[in-house]
Amino acid sequence: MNGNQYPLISLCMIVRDEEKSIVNCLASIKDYVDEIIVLDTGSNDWTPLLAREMGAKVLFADWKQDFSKARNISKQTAKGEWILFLDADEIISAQAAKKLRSLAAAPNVEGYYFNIVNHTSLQKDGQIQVGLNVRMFRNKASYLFEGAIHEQIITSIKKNNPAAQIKHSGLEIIHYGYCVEDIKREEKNHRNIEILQRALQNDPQNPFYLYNLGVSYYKAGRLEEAKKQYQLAKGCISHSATFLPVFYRNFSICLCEMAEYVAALELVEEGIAHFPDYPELYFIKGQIYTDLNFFSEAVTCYLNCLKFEKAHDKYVNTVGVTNYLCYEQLADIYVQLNQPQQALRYQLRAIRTGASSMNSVLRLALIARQHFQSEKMLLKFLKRFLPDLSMDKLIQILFNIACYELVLTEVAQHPAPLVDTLLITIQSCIHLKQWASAHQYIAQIPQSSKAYEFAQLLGCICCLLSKNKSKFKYYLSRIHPDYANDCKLIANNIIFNNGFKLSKLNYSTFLLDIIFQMLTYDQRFTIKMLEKNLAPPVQGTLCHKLALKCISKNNYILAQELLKTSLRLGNKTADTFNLYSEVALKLGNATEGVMAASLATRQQNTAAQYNTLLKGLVNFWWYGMLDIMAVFPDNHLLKQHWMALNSYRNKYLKGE
Amino acid sequence: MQNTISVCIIAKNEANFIKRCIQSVLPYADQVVVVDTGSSDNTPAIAKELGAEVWHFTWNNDFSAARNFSLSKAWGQWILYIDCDEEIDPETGNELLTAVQNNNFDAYFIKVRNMVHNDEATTFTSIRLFRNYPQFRFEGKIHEQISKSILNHSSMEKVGQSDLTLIHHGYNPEMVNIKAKVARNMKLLQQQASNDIQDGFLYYNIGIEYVRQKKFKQALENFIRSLELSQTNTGYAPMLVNKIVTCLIELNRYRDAIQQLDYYRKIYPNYRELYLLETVCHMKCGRYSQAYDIVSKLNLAPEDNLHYFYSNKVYGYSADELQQTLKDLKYAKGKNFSLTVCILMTDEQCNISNCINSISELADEILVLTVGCQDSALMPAYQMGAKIYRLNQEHDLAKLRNFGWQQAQGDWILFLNACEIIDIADAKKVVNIINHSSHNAYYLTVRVLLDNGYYEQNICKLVRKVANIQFQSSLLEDLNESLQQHLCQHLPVKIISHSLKNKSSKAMFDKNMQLLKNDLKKFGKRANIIYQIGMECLKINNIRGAYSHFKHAMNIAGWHYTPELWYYLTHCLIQQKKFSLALQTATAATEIYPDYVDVIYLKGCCQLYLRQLQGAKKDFMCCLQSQKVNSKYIHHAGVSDFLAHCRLAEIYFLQGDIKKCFEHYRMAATKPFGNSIAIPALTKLIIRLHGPGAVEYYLTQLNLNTCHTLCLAAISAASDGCLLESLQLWQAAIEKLLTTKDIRHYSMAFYAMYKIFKTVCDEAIKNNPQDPGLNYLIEKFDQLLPR
Repeated sequence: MNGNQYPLISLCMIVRDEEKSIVNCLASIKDYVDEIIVLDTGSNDWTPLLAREMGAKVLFADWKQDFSKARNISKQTAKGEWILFLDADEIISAQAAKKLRSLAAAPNVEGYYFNIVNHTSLQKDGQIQVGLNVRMFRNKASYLFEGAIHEQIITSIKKNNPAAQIKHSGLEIIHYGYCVEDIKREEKNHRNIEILQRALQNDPQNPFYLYNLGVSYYKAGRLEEAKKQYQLAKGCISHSATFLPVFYRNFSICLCEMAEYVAALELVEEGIAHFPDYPELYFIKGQIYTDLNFFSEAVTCYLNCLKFEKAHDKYVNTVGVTNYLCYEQLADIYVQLNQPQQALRYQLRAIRTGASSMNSVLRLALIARQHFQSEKMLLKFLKRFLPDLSMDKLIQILFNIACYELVLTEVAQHPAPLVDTLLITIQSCIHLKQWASAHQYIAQIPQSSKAYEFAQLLGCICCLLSKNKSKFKYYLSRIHPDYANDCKLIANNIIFNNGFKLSKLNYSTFLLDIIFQMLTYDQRFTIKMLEKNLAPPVQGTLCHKLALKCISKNNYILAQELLKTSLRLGNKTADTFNLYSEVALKLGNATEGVMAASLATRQQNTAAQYNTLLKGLVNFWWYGMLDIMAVFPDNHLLKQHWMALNSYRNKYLKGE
Repeated sequence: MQNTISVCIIAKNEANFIKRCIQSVLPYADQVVVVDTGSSDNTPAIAKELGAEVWHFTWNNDFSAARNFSLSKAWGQWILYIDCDEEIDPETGNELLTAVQNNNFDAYFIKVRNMVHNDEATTFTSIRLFRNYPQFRFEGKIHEQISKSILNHSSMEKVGQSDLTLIHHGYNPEMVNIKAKVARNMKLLQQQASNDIQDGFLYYNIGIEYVRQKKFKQALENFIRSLELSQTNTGYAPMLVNKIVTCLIELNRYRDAIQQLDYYRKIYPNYRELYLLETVCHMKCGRYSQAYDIVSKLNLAPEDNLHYFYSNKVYGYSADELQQTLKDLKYAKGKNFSLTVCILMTDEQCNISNCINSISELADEILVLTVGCQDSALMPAYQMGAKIYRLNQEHDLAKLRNFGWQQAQGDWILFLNACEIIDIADAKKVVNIINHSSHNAYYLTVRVLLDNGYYEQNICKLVRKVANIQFQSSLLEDLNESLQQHLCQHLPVKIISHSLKNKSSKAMFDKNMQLLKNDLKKFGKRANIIYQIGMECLKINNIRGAYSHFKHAMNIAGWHYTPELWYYLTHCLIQQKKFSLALQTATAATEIYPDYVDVIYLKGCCQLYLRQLQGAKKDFMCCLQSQKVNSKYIHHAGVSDFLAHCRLAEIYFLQGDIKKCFEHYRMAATKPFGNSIAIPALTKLIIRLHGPGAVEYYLTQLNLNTCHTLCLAAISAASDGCLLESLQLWQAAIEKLLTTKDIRHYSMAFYAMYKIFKTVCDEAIKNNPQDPGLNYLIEKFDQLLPR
């Protein structure tokens, strides 16, 4: 360790059961500090050994349910002039770490802020929130961490040394602890809730604890409890609290999610009144308006948010909120307003300002397909505006937007398509009923590939749909026996057998899966086949079950078709009517929803049936109100009713 | 002489109080000026005796004029003005002498402490002490103000604060003085450097939170605490004031709100929303002309300061919209008489604010007279600017009314009950007619609303204050009996009475019966009293009791006593299903009063029940032909139109003539009130005859497919168990709403869907009474979408 001409830096950490991340963390920093102190508060895994392996001095202490206490112990023995502290689920980039020494050399500075970059997912399209925190400070015994949780050093520095200069380091620390993929996230959150509850017993009016408890409840999905804590915090929060802006942000997000629109709007407006330069708040306001279908108001909010080039460091900011996130929201709004050109423009802007996930690209493609008349133009557009997209990715996108012809032309030009691309090609062929090509592509999947069996199954389905007996046997021998049995059952009894009607059926998941796949490729053929070769009671139940499967895959149009068939075939049970009603409501057809639900209640007047009927009625009401709103956009009473109705619909009737 | 003090008092009939008042100021005052505005007691003599200078001033309905007259008589260098029901707190008297020696100030806020009913005292502050400069003069006719004039001609820095305290005893022991003032903190004026603005903001936030929850009372408490801790130049302070006033308005505390606004408008002179809020206050009190004057001035006011939080709209109105709305509402300008409205409040359930709202524009003075009502029920009246008198007397309405008569200052007096309102379209007629009137009293038409319709009768309500007239009965409005020598005219103005709507409580019955028994004791068995007992019985549905009293009244006064008696006798018999006897009575009545349509209608009903369809048809036809109802009869809504039509429809249905049946329902539905009876009947009939799906078609055929009627049909279909039919009708109603673009129908459309939803809820709960999920859903619905 070299530290001769520079002041020494000590890294202090507190850890427990962090064997998954401690190595990554220490590896990112160990060459840039002069001492590493790791205080273990009771690990049951390899954490202490791994830390020692990485060159740390490992200390042990009992966990006292108090982060500040532990942190203060960790810094007691530090010898450096500066203390840097990190958590095990954080890393620092090499470029940033290199600059630490020059920061330490600056005179008259007592501490440094760092941008904490919180990833919420390891995926590319996960939100990233950036906040500010003091992480490096001069090692003085009088500077002590405060707060049982979300411990802070700055309060103590300011108290001891009111004139202390605290500067922004301009550096980032990357935190992965909030990632949904982190299996310990829930557990940690639960632990935080306990600590906060305990801390609040001693200090029930502490707005910081109350606020953080709100955040923790929110993260745990306990929205009502979160709201209560936020409300309590609001009763005692100070005007100058550093977390007041983020408090407004998180509280209004919580209210919006709870569909309490009136309250959410009022709160976010209040927040904007206090912090008019906090872009996040405009974004949230835009989302509330979007939820309420107040599109022109929402557009204004997003445009306001876009006026900020960059959000101020002092606020907790979501990456992209002043550019691509807004653009994507605007694109969505214009899709809903049926203005694809405008939507396309915004979605493109989103991609150019940083929206890089496949989802964003797919959205662009979907909008483009709506906008362009010919598939040729569409392809040209995609290639021009997405030059970085690999051929395989492009084909994937084309498949996802159901441009099967384009898939085939692109694949033909692909020198070496991936296996996944080939699978997509096979499926495209089946959609287009190009059986010969399908068989050709299936043959290209090597036996060693993981996708081999799936390709053979596609072959079976291909044969079932084209009634090709000879090839069918060939594929049947190559697929998993579970599927093989059910495939054979379908083939023998349904497709190739023109004799008697099947009156009994074993509804295995495989069977349902195969028929479901057949349906997605050729709905008419499959339904006709079911009608022709199954006895009525079987038909009805099978259709009902298939509909459930469609619903689980969000394919409501197909589900509605199946349920219609089921009802037409005489399966007029309350359950089927009820399900039909739910599907109709999902598809935005309130009248059919109410009709079906009302028939269901006639047959069976249980609470569940009435629940659906009430849901249908509120939707029916909602669509009526939507029409009225369009004609009288500025009526005050109407707006009040509208917000209340939306809250009711989204909060109490949304799901189960 | 240095720093001399003149105390200025205006007084009228204050013999009981003026002594205490003058005595309290004597030790400090160099001159006491008493301006008498027309006492009939010995107020002037008492004042003179105590050494005051007494001047007479002819009352012209203008407090400021009287006050300014008193100022003009003052020669002291300083002026303290004080009301007769106030006295100087002797412990603070020296503060007065200290204050006038300070050269830095031109005026002072002093404290006024309320001492009413030994309640916890509340203190507010008021500019009462100021230099005797001729430019300092009162402004405003009702809420006279000196502060505006002082600030115009001096400045805020020259207004000091003194601990001099006046004790306010309330107007007289019988008068209610509701403590309602908002504590105002003087730190604001002193602009003290405060280093703790945190707490102020904290309470502000708590307040906002309560506003969000619509808990305005708690919100207000927190805002006031915030105000105490905040400076006027803090960023959120203007917003805070806005919120305080908004809370006060939400709590219907208009008087308090106006008082706050008077004050803060000077601190934030460019804050336009404060003017809008004041406009709203006056508008909500029904003082449209006053509201209009303020909002009109707003166009001249300077632009909003950008730092103020403003939306340019209050309660959904922009300044222009307010001005437009008010322009149509105001009418009092051009009135050349003064009017006192005397409101009797005997029932706490009455919403007196509707009453006051309907006459504020018309009235120069509003007196509210009561015996038993709690302060909380009187609060709205006080806040809307009424003078309130609580008489500690037995419950005797004649005494209350006669007291009001004596107190009234106006040229004319209008007697109302708290549950009555004047139809706004008609109110303008009062101005036109009374401006040129040479009469002394007028009958007004009182329309008593029932759950389904109304009846009308004429009662003497409006009198000129000339002669000494008196009410006698402790319940009845029997003014006409003492008016016999005066000419009493009919004024074509409607008073809408809610006295019977949705209530016929036993408590009310007992109370009224007690009064009537007292009357019986006092005046003996008079027919009008017995008749009234019958009416009280009828209100609580005691048909037999009612019938026997009506009989009794007829026995006393003879068959010619009053035509209504015949009507009610028949009515009671029909209620008891004694149709033949009822028919006999009605037939007898029609022979005496051949033009009494209501009785002809009852006669028709008897025949319909007895299935004498031809006779019934003739009677109802007769009802329809008599368009103009003789105003000497009590008249029930609909007997000469929609009710007769509905009965005819029933007859034609019984005779199998569906076309004529529908036609009569159609005719009924085109009348006001008629559609709520005819449409449900028609809807049920169509569903019965043609099955579901046909209602909209037939309503369209009958030209009854307005948004309103379709909504009524939808509600009716839902309650008949035809949900899909009902929704179809609602959808048709919405289409009508959208094509006509008439937003007035929206609330009916909303109500209809609300009723449909509730009908399904009721059915759901009936079938699943114990289901917690359903109960929760429905409870939340009621919370979110209250009717």
